[in-house]
Amino acid sequence: MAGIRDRIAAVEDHYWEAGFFLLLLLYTLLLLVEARTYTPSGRLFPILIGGLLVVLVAVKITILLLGDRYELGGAGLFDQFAEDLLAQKVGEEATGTDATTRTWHRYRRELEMIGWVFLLLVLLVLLGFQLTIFAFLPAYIYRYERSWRRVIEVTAFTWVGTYLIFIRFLTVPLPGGLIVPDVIVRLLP
Amino acid sequence: MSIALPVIDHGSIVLQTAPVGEVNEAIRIGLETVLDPGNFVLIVLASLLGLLMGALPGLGGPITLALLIPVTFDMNANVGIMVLAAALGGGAFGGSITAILLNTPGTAPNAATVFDGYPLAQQGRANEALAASAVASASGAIVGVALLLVSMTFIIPFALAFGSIEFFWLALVGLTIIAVATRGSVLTDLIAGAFGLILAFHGLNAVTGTARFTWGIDYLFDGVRLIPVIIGLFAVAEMLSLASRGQTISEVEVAAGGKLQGARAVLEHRWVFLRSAAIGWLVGIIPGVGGTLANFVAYLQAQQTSKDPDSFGRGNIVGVIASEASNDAKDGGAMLPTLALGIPGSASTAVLLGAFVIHGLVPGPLILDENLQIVFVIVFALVISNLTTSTVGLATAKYLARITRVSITTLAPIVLFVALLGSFVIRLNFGDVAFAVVFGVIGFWMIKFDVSRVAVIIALVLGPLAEENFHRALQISRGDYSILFTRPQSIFLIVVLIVILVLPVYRSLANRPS
Repeated sequence: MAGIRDRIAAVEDHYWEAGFFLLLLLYTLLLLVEARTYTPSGRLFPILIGGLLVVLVAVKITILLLGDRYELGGAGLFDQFAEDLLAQKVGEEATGTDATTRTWHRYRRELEMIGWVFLLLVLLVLLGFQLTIFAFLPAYIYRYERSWRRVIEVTAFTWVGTYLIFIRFLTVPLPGGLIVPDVIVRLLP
Repeated sequence: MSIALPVIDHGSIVLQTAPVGEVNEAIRIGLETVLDPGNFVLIVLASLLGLLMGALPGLGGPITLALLIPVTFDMNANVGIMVLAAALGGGAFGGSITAILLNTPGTAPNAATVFDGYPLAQQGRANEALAASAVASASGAIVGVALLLVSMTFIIPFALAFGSIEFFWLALVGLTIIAVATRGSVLTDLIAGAFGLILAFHGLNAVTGTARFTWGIDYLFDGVRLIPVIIGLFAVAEMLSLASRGQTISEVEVAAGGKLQGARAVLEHRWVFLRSAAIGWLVGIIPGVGGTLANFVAYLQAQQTSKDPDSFGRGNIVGVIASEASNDAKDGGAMLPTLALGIPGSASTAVLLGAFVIHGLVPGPLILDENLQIVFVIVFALVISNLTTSTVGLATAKYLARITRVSITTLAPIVLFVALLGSFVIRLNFGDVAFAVVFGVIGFWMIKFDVSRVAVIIALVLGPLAEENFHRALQISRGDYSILFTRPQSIFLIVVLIVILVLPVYRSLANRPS
């Protein structure tokens, strides 16, 4: 496990960036294939822009993966490419066990935060909006601040604000969730 | 003595004279309406509501007005329209608060404010940015309505001169700004812009009748919705980014005494302010173009005419002044086609037109003939509402700025919840919430890899405008492409586009050491 963790943390940032743009490239290629089935007027713009995007992303990925083998220079636009690459290279200089550990902690925290956002979405679907306030906020705040006082303050503030603005004034029908039906939510004020 | 007002007669615009007495009477009724104590309180409340809603991601502009219309059902027509105009005026500044403090534009037209507003907040200068925004907003709105009143008699032909062909080139001008105005790598920003265009092509295209890239998912039939994308790319992504770094918005203490500095900055840069307001008003006149373009064109001209253009995007107060001045002046411009022709100048004025119909008013030239007082009610309501919200903004800037020092583990869950709630409220559709989350994650990676999110938004707004008008123009010309290059207005816009592309390269070459 530690070996996998170290290997992940050792991957340089510009490879992750290349991976991000590779995903974009793959989706764009998928769109181009799909666009061929449309009428000429329907596919004109998607093919034009999609084709342009494929070229741009391919150039970007090439620069990210192979940029140090090319000399970059010229008028304003291309000077920017060189500056970007130099900035990336500076970020890559950190090496060693401490740096790997720090990097792994950073990745873990990022994944944790993404996990919290998806948890919020799941809670909204299962519990509805009002009850999610009492589930998500206490869980998140206590996890990182370890203060019940802060939990109560923030949860109360958020629920009162939501109630006054969205439920009372705007009369937005906030639904219940899949496991907490509307009939129970309607018991709330 | 008489005054000339434009009306449509047998398909042509003619100037119809109205006695000055009628105009004076309309002004008197307008003033009486807004200065009635009960109505004045309504204006203040509507302004504050517009301010609050504008600050909540996804709830500004047209949504605020749509939610307020039922509240005005039982009101007299003048008062009902007055309330809606006041809410409209408050929303523009509200959107700049979140743009500055949270790097999240409250509405798409506030997008250019994040370029310099958020860096200022990160430097502990949120006070200054909010104050400058408050003063520029109020002043810009006043300039906008003043230009509206002055120009009503002769500007209508200008608005009517823009057809499908010109809209196509205008959209391209706006898209070109992506490559020039945004601060990051040109290649990455072009990728972001192209990505935004690709997103814009999803869903049913009204002109070609083709449903594209829906992958069999009903939700995508309506295309990629703008507001959930804005909420995801900005509100959700920003909170993810800050929370994963354990950082507050500003790592430095909020600088004391920035309010006066920010307010004074508008006066110090008065020529940029006036040009930006004029640009916002002018673009606002063109029906359907909306505020996003006005915002960016004004920002670009401020950047390109500055002695230090490289400082833009790093916390230059002039960037905030330019974008906010144009954002508020555009409402005055958008009122012109709305009132005089019955053609909405923006999404918000489209909703306002609906309110006209509900209150028994016929939008278009007849309004000027039969209900001239409505024009002055709207003008006075906009002025009062902008002054109200800017006063509130100035008074609370110090307290609002403290948000930048709130612990992120307290701020993030609140912002995330409210953001997703905002995305749900738009259409009461959970699909929008899921979309906001997905784009939140995409936006988080875009922040990590320094890919412009604003470029995606510009492209998402202007892409459909460009494509639909391109096809419409070809339908009009029956497939003759030369129609795109022959009208004087089109040639002018092509020249503007070339200048926008060439100018930065020229300046870069001119400034290189020999």
